Amino acid sequence: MTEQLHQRLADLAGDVASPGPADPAVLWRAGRQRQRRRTAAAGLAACAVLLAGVSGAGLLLPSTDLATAPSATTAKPALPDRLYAPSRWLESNDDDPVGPFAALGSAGRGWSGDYAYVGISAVSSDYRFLDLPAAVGAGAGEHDPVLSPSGRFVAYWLGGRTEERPAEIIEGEDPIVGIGVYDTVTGEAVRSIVRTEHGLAPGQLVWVSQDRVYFQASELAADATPTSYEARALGAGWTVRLGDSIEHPRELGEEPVVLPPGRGSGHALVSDRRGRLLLDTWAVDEREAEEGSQLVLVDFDRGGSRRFEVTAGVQLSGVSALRPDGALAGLEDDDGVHTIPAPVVVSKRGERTVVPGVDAYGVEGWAGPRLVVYRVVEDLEQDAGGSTTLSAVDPKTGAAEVLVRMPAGPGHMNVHGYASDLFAVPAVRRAAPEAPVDPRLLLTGAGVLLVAAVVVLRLWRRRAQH
Amino acid sequence: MRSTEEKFTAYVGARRPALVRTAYLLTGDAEDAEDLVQTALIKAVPKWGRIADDPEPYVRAILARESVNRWRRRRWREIASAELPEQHQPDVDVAGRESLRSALATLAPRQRAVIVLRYYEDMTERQTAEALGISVGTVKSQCRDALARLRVSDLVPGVGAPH
Repeated sequence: MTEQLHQRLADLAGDVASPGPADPAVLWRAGRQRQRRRTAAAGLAACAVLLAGVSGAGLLLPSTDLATAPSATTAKPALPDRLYAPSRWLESNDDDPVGPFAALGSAGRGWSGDYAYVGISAVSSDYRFLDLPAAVGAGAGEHDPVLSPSGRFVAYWLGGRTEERPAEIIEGEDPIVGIGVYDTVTGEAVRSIVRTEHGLAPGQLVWVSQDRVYFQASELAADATPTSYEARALGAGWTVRLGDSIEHPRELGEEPVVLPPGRGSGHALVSDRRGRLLLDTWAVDEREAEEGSQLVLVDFDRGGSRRFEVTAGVQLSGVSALRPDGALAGLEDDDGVHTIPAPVVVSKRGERTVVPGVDAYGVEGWAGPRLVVYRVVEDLEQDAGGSTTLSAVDPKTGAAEVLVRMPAGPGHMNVHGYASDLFAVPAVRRAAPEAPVDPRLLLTGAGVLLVAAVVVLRLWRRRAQH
Repeated sequence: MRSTEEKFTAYVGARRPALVRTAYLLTGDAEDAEDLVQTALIKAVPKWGRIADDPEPYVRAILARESVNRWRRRRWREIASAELPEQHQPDVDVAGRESLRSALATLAPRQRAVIVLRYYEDMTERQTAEALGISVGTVKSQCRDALARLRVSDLVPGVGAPH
């Protein structure tokens, strides 16, 4: 019976006419082409899936601790209790402003790793790179931007065009023509420009109060170079109020600093951040030059100035803090005898107190009327050289409370300044900032996968051919 | 020693007519049969290095599966016709073959493939199952149902399940 069906099927199959001629070579080529297409398609699909997997894994990497995400933190500005070395791939504050800032630092950025300024939010755990419009001298150290007392604004030296050929005192940078003030909340900036022939030599840049920044500069000669230049001082410094951008004539004087008769300003030393600024002045008349420098306390809000006496032995420039009542906190000027100078406090009456038991290497300000905020080195005896903190210290007893711990472990960040209004506010615990996936890792992973896919496909083809 | 392509060329030259005949039983149409064989041979090329010594089972498996898959792909855009196209029939038993062809056309593609592989190609149930990528049990049930239809149509009197 089976044979009967087989025979009937064979008879039916025999009805089909003999097939036309077919070229096996054509079929072979078509088969190989089909194989190549499928192989390529499979490879591309595999790469796409793997790349999607890698990207997906990157997106899924934990970026922030949800328990301390921005939405979970208080909106009240405060210092974070710990700083972290930031990722090179942070967002720009222009794209997503996170101001006001608690601190301003600098760290390596992007592919090149060149130093760029970093803002640390006072209201969340976010860090952002700052793209200050037309800023010059980024990372150079001596021309660093400064953070306002509230952390809302950043003042910086501004590059631009001069009336004639600029004198290049910072290699590869535009000549300095004034200052800019950047709003960390909105990402906007205003400018204050001094019209000069060859540019400015930057002097001091100091926040005097919440909305007033003092800067002093000198006008450069045409032949100034980065290593050697003479500059003609432009006289008194001046302040810039936030608001519309302004342009100054070279003579300045729009808002002259009020100084005692016959005195010109030298360096801005320290501000109480409440409108008063301590200036080192010199005699304008050369016949009175023997009087030497004289400290003058200028009150920008009320106008006027008065002579200021400081007991000798206190470093003032850059390492001191002025209390509204006139008391100064600083480091002992021992001409480098000690590795770490002793912190001292000098009252308005000239009483000098050495703060006991604190290894301080910098003074940041006053936290209220009693406590001084120092940059402190802890555990100096350890092999690792100790750790650094920002601590509020009682100058009478030396009792210290750590406000902020500096970055530890791999990575690095320089901290240039803090929002000093926050010294009197308790620091809060904040999570580590987001660490965007390093695109180099993604590219490397994709490259390795691609190479592996090519190798596998080649082996596959070779095996199929044999 | 012949190259892989030469082996392929020799196989096509020797076996293509037989493959077309099998394909004709699977499709019921001469042109579709040639097209099906060509597709099966092209699909076999990438594997030829490994199957060159005995390509027949692999090619016939592609042939059978492709015939089932083609029907799946086509059924939604083709209108089934109750009447089969006319064929040139020079043999004397024209009526008997035409009846068988019509009866085969009523079978589901997989049932037809099972009948062709089991009773024309003389494959075992296991070989048929492997060729179609289905279980032996499915081969048995499909074969039983197909033969029942063929008996109902009185085309294959006395034909039972194969032994």
